[in-house]
Amino acid sequence: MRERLKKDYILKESYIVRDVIGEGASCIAYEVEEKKTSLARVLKEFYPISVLIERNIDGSLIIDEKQIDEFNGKKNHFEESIKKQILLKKQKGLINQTYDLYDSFNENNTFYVVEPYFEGKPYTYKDGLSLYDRICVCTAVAKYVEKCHSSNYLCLDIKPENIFVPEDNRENPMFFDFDSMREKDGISFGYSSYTHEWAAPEQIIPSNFKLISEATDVYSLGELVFWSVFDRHSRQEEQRRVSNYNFKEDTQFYNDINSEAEEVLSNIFHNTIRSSIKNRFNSVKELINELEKLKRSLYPKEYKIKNPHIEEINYFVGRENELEEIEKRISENHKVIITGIGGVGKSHLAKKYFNLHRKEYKNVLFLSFSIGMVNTIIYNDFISGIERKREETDTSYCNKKISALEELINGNSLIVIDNINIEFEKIDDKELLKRLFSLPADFLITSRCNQPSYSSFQMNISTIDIDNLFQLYKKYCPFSSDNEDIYVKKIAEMGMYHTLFVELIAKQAKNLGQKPEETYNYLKENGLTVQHDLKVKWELKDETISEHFKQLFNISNIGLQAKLVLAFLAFFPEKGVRYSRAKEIINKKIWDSVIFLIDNGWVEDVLEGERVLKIHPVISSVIIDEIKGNELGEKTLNSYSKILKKSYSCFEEKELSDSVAYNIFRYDFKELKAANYLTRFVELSRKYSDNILLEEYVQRAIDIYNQIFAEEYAAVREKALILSCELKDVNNYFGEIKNICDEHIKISQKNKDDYFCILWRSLKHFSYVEYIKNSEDFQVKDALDAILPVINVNQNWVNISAKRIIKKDKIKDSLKKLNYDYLLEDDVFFIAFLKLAENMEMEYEDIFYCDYSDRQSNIYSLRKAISMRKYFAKYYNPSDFVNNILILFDKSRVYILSAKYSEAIDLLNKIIENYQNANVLNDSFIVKVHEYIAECSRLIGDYYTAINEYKTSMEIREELGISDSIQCMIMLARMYLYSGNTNEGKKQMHKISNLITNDIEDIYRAGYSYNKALIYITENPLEAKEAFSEAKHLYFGKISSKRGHLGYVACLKELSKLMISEKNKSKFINAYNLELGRLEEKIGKTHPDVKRLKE
Amino acid sequence: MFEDGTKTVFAKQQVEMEVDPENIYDAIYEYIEYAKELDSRNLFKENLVKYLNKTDSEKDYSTVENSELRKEIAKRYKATGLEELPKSVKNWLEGTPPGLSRENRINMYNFCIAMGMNVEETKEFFLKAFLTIPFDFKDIVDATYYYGVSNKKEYKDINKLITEITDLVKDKNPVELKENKETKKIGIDISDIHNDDVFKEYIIGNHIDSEKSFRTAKKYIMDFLVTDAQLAQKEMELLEGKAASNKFFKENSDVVIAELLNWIFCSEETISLKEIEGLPKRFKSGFPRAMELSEIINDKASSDVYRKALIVLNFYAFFGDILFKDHIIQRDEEEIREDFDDFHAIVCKNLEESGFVQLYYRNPFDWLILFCARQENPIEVFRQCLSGE
Repeated sequence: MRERLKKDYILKESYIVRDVIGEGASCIAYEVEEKKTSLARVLKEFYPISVLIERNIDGSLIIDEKQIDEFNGKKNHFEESIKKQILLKKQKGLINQTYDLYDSFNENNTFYVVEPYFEGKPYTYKDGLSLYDRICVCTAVAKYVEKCHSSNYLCLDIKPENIFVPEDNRENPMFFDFDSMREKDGISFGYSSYTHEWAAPEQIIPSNFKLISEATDVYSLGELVFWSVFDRHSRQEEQRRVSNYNFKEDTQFYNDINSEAEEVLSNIFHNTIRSSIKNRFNSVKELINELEKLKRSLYPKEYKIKNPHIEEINYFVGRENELEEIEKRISENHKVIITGIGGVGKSHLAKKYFNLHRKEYKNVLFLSFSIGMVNTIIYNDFISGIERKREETDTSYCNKKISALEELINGNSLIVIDNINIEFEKIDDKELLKRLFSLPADFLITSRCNQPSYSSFQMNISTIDIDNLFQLYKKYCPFSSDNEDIYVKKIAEMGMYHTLFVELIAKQAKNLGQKPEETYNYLKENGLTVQHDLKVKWELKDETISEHFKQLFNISNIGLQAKLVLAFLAFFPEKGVRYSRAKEIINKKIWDSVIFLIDNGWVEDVLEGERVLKIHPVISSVIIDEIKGNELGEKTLNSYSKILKKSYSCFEEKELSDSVAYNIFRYDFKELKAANYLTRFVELSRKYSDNILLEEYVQRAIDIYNQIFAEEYAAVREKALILSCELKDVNNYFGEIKNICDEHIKISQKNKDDYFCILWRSLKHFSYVEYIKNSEDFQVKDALDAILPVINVNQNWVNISAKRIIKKDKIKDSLKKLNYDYLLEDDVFFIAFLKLAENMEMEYEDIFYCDYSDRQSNIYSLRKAISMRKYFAKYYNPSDFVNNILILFDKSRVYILSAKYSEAIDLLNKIIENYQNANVLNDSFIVKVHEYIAECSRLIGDYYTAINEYKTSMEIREELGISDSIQCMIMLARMYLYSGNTNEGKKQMHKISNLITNDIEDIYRAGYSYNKALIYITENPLEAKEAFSEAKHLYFGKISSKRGHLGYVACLKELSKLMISEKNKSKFINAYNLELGRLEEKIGKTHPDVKRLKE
Repeated sequence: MFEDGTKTVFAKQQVEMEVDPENIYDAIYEYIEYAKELDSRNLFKENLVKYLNKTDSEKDYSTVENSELRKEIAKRYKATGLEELPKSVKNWLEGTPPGLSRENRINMYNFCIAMGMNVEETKEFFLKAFLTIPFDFKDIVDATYYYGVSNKKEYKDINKLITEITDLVKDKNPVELKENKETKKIGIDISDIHNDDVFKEYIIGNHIDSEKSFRTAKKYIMDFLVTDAQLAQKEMELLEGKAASNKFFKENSDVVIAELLNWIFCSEETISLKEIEGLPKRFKSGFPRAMELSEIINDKASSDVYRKALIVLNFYAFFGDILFKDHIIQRDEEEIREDFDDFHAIVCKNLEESGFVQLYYRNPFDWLILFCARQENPIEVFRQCLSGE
């Protein structure tokens, strides 16, 4: 029988035993109170059950002499499991899910471990939790298990008793069983502890121990889900391939579980709680996917479908038969594809049908096809409540939207997709279209193309009859005399009864005040002829119609300026651009031309969900074709090149650049500008886009460059080639990439282009690092060895950049000769060099919150770097700009490390001065310099300078299109608050509030809450208390980082002031004093933040 | 644990052999013959020879006569301080399958001690030669033998310990073990104990009465009886195409065992296993009929009876649940394999939990059950085997 420590027993003069919490095979767990802080902790005493042990009156243990060795062996094992816990704690992604080890010590002839005590309960007490909350816990557990697996551990004792659910953070349950964890490879023999009800058969059957694997944990996780849903364990008959579950009667959550959730849950059970491991999911990942799906179907829906308002054209005539036919076909097949030549009225017909029948449906969607299906989904605004996150890729955003759609569409819905002018089978991401088609909805699609694989759904429409065309013409351009009918008929014949053509002519005739006869004669004089053969093939008809539009474009009264505008608009996405946005990007001076084009029918101003400016695809295709290769085309590309660089600050303009790039590609532009556009587009968009077209775009650019610079060296082509290599998967193409790099290193050397020589070398070495990174025996040292040559060979390039600064124009001329073209605008040298330099730099935190003990060695290594740079500078060029600023920067960091912040600020300001004097444009490095000055100013209490510097850095970020720094924004707000400018502080906080989501790092959320608390502190202490508590909790999760620790201590201090009861006050003061001591050990007593805390 | 030997692998392959469902009944005869062949093997002798050859390299025991083997065993018994060679050991050598009584179990342990086997060798011999589970740690005798063999104690010391512990236990009220205290966990704890006093104290707190040692098995069996009766009712309805009269339950919802077993085994008329010449002996002995079930209910059955009842009733519960839905389900090869794997794993788990040896391919009873389980309609094939046609 174990003898427990008595209540009020004191250990290490620090911990007072309050209660026994539990007992395991190896230890007894007590709740203790830490004397210093009065905070509760958990203390575990090593006390193995299998050893004969007695307890002395003084609390020490007497171990049976014969079993001393056994005791010590077990104690070592226990200590090992603690080490395992510490090791796991360091694993990325597990920090918040494993306990911090608070203290450990030897006493009473045994070993003790102290851990934090959390408010909350083990998952065994799940009664108050909703099904959604329970599934969140299960998902988090599964993710934890997955991480353990990837760290080569199996958990083997997953059960609610081992899962602790913090009161206020259910999505982050914590784990406290490390004893049963085993390394995957060490499992085949011997026993591992388990709990019978949660254990997979192979844990129970000795001859099957060798089968214990990831699938063993999969079983227990499945059982955990089952227990969460049904509040009991699964029975044998519920563990089979064909098992059915009674979700209607067996669970208290019958109201929450819809048919989809039922399906997912059954699938989970059928693939987890199976006796044979062969019949379970292969990995926890598969289970996590299912749990995520389940969470989605259980989560109270926040998003919904936006049923758009789609405006019909003013004068819709005829098509009664077609409308009836569509209705009939939809009721029979749920899918109709309206085909016909461009401009014949397919979209108008679809809109008409949409409006006629929208009331019959619960959900209606009207999507305009845009390049591919991913773009169609992301650029059509049909769902509310889903926002694109910063830097989220197209594919991820698309999946989110389409998954939401799958949840929301459950019959009784109509989906129109307009203008899929490509054969469905040829769409690159056609599987997405199929995914859409699998939704339980009616589909109406318009397409100019024949769709052989969907021929049974296809409904070809022809031109409207002559009577209806008369009506149409008359509505757009009223005429009184019946004699004129004959001319309208001739015009219609001339346009092969083409609706858009007749509509366009009518609009223009009205604007010019022409009668039909005059119009007809004008067209005839300008070469348009009447087409008598109406039975020509539709492809030919399409061609002839295009010819007509071309002629019309050339003979109509559009002035050069309007033509330019029209050419510009022709590149718009088919669904158009928001009217107000179009007004922003088109120069005010020429806006009249836009109005003229609208009046004359070339451009449409319509309401489709919102007011948009668009151009009919037939017209845009004619215009783009017409301007290709001439001055108009070049000017248009110029205009787009100008807005491209900034386009990625705005999602809507990303859609525009997408459309421009696609049109350049589709219409086969061959100009240098076109190649430049494609290259720059690829460079900008590859971060966000998994668009498979990118590879084709860059290849097209290379082809164009090859045409233009057949025998000549061209830096722009090198750039495109580098991009093309970067787009390749290095794991599969490393050999090819390496060969290209080698070849082009030689080519650039031969042409004395040191910059590209460096870029090729960098690509080669970094690709190698990327390639070996995935190998099993990868070591950081290998990566450094691989990168070092790049760093070393940059000497030539430093030389060149130095020359460039001195003899700016001259070098520019020589670069022009190397066909640097647009690259010269981008100040490539500095960006590239500084990027390389960044790789070598110390982290921000290492500079400002350096570990006290590391300070001297950091200073030493920085000084060494400075002397190295000086040496290089002297050797290559004493006035080298880059070397100088880096030396200044290093020196300033030495000052920061030595807590001489004012001196650091002086040097940092010199860098800014140097930039200005040398006329060098702002770059990411200068952003960093401003942020360093701001931080130094903050530390010496100069909040006004800090504010200015933070603001400047944010402005430069915007100018360069670099994403905002949340940390910087939070600090700016705090500086306002510290300086007493609460109003500005609040404004700044308002700006940040949109960025504070659950996805961002805890340290930012903590900073935000801390600021919130500062705002409340005078107005509403209760709210302030809450905000500080929240910040404290978040900082605690990051306590291993110095900033996290600092924040935590600051919160303790503030909270101690806000506590009302003396007991609580002293509790927080004690905790504060203790943590402050620890912080001092980390960053030193003289650190200004520490000093401020003590004030 | 122990790797499968080549003979076991072969037996396993026989189960896995694809049988053309069209000719299943022709094939059954052939497979029963194979089961009989397994039955006729003297596993005790085979494993004894294997052990002797392994431990005594000077002599080849493969060709030695039984009489000489007997002498060798007797010699070792004497050297260990054991009394005369028991009759049962002589019988085992002659081919009588070892019985599973308590006395026999002690004989088995003594035999292993006499042969100088360590813990692992004893375990292997129990599983492969005696076809029974070694070291049931919740049992005082088994646990003491385990402790004794692990710590290389002499036979007389082990016996003395058993007597002492049994006396100590007599004076105390029986300890109620926690349900979830796994047998294996006790084994782990015991393997860490190297002191007689600690062991005594530990085992007094961690054993169960021998009378209660089959309670897990009994609980399983009683549950399966109810499930099986429900499934039988369903099957009958499916076969007869209408709601059949309630044949398997009495008014107070007690299962009518005789009717049920009759249905499970032949679905038509009563059969007498004894009459079926074709079945292996080890298959027939202890086969769960009404009498055997009544022994189980009255706590009088031997472990072999418990084990077989557990397997057979589980077999019908498992496959009945899969096959009898709105109609009799047909499964494809993939589904058959999946279900077989699950069945194998779950039966092994139930056996382990009940303290029995797991399914062993060289045990003719186990082999036939596994063979049936691997077929498209396991229940029909099982019945066909029993019918002897």
